[in-house]
Amino acid sequence: MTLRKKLLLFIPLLVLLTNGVTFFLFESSKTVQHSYNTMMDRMLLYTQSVQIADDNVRALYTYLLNPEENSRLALQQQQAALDQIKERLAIQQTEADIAGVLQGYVHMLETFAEQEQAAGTSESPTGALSYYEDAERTSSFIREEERRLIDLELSAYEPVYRSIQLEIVRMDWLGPAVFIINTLLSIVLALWISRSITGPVDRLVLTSQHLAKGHLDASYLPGRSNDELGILSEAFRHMINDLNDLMSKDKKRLESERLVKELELQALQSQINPHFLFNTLNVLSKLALLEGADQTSDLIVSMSKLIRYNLSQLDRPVTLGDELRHVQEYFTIQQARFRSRVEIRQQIDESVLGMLIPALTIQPLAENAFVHGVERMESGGIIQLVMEQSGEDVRITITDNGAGMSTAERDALLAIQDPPRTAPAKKNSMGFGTRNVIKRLRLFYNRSDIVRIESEPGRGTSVILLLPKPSVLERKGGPIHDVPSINRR
Amino acid sequence: MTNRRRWNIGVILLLIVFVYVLVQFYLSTERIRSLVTPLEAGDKNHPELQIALISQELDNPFWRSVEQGALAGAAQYHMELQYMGPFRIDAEEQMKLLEKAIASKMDGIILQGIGTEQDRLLIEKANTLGIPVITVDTDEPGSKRLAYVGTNNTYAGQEIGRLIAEDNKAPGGVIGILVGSKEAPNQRLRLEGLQSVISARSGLSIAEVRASNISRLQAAQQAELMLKEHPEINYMVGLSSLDGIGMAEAVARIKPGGVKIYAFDDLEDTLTAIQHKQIVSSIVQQPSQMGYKAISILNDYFRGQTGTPEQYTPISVITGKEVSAP
Repeated sequence: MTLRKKLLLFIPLLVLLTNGVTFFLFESSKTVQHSYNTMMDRMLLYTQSVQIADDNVRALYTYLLNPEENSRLALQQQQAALDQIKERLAIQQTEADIAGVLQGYVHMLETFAEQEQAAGTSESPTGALSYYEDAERTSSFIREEERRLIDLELSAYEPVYRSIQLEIVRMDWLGPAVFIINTLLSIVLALWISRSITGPVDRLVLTSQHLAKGHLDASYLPGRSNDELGILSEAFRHMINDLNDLMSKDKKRLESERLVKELELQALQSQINPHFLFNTLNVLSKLALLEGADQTSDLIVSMSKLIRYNLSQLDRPVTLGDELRHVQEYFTIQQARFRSRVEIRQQIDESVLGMLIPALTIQPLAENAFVHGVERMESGGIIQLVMEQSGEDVRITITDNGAGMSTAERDALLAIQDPPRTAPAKKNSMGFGTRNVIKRLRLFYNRSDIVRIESEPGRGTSVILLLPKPSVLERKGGPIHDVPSINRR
Repeated sequence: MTNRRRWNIGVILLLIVFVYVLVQFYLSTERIRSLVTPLEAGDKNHPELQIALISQELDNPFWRSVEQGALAGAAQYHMELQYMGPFRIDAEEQMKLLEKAIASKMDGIILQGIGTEQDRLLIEKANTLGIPVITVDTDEPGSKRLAYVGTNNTYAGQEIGRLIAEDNKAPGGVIGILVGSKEAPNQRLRLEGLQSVISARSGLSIAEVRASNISRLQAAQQAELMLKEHPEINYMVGLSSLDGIGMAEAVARIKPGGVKIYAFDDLEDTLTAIQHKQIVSSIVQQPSQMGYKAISILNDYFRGQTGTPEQYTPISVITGKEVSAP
């Protein structure tokens, strides 16, 4: 129920109930009053009729004594009054017991009127006198009957009066009860309605205070309800949740940017301007070619390509093919260095080469295989690079048969959190480059099971990347304004 | 949530209590209304015929029985009966009531014949005004009453005479008689009936006739005087309803067991006395039937039919057997 409906329902309801009590009180007092009035009216009518009958007798007597015009008029006036009151009595509605008596009374008045008429119009004085006596006698009957009627009315009313008294006593008792209950009900309703407003409002205020302090916490919000405040707090809850989501996304984005920066920083750590180095290497390779040192020239070209790759925009994804070429350049240089001590095996599924991956992810792993795997071996070192389709994913495996690592070292490498950097100086130790790659891959794919390492001390290491195939992204190549390198192959 | 529910329950409870009180108020109002309504009722405009029943004495059980019968008849024929009468036996008052009833233009009047000239004149006046008059219990001979309904009093007197004659085997039965009033025609007729039977039998004689004025105390007093003056009395007859009990009291004081008492009517005390063998038997009239019959004759009259002017209601004799039997 909405607040508006609640208010619209309960306030009129309260008023209606209170008014109901007032109405019933008014109604009953009106009824009682009415009954008093009608009975009183009737009694007054009885008394009045007796009065008029007496007046009639007197007027008749005066007329009979001296039958003059004005006494005749007075008599007629009295007769008219008698007729009138007779009519009024005849239409009175009384209790069934009294009705018969009242009817008799009205008839008696009629008889009286007839006798009076007869006396007034009688020719002979003796006849008039006897009619007058009759009328007088009837008027005495009327007096008696009037007393009887009043007695009857009173005795009929008495039990009613007693019962009404009892009812009124009951109502007297009900009155304070209604007052108390009504007051209680008003207070409770007022509290109830105001609580249903102030409670949620208080909680909303508390939540917004927390928000202002930076705590994104929806637990203070009021429970779900259907009123306006419920809708408001629901919207609030949504907002807080959305804010939380956005903030965590933002944190991730910042982290991946930080890692790229770190990589760039690492690349710059050579403290030689890479463009200068790259250009110099290209000049050197051309010179070596001119002097007939073909192999030297090739190596220098590879070197220059490696550097150029590193100079490209590292925050953009590249294709697996690009990354493979880069690794192959690296292999060329390392092969020239290690010669027959290392055998490099490659097993490449051409169909996976179009896939996009973050730049500089495989080369650091290959470098790791050289530096930590086979560098110290006198002979028989093997480094294998496999790229293949594995179900929906692409599996990239770099295997060496070198020194290997312990389980603890491996776990430290795969740990989500950075281990405390005890020896930052030890640059070429297993870890920094590899950990950077692992973290970047995890952030890029938003999955933590992207890298697996299988290793045993003395037996070698396998780093397995399981890359989920993303929807194909357009690859934008960055502009390169450097000296073009020559490639004889 | 529980807190909220508690609030809801509280509000609902208070509402229920309030509505209860409101309903009480409503009921009170309704009751007052229903109490007051009959005072102003009169939805029926009294088309009923008004019948006056003027009794000899207002709270006399005999006359109350007449009223009951008349009421039953009135209910059946849609008439309204107004029962009236003097508080104590008062012929003047009875006649005044009759005069009033005539002045009130009653549709019919039922009364006890009083036996005076004035009464006859009043009945005639009613007759000229078109009001039918029925006499019950006691007739008003020579008046213009429509009909008489009641016991055949002569026959009732004869019946008592026959009862005594049957009882009296040996000669020498002396009878003391109490009557309600020596003027009342019903008493006179009963006495005549009784005398006619006694005089026909040898061996039976009437010692004295006295009036009790329909009072138990006077009945006892008169019976006592009679017994003292005529110690030979061995039968006593009471021709009005209270005589029997008064005589039984007197006999118990003066001559216990020596007098056989015959009474009239079936008052509670009379029946008890019969049971205790203080009274031999009693002649019982049918007052309720009188009332009912009077009303039905009036009904016939209003519908234009006239029957026989004398309608006798049956009598029965109650002895110790009948009293102890049921």
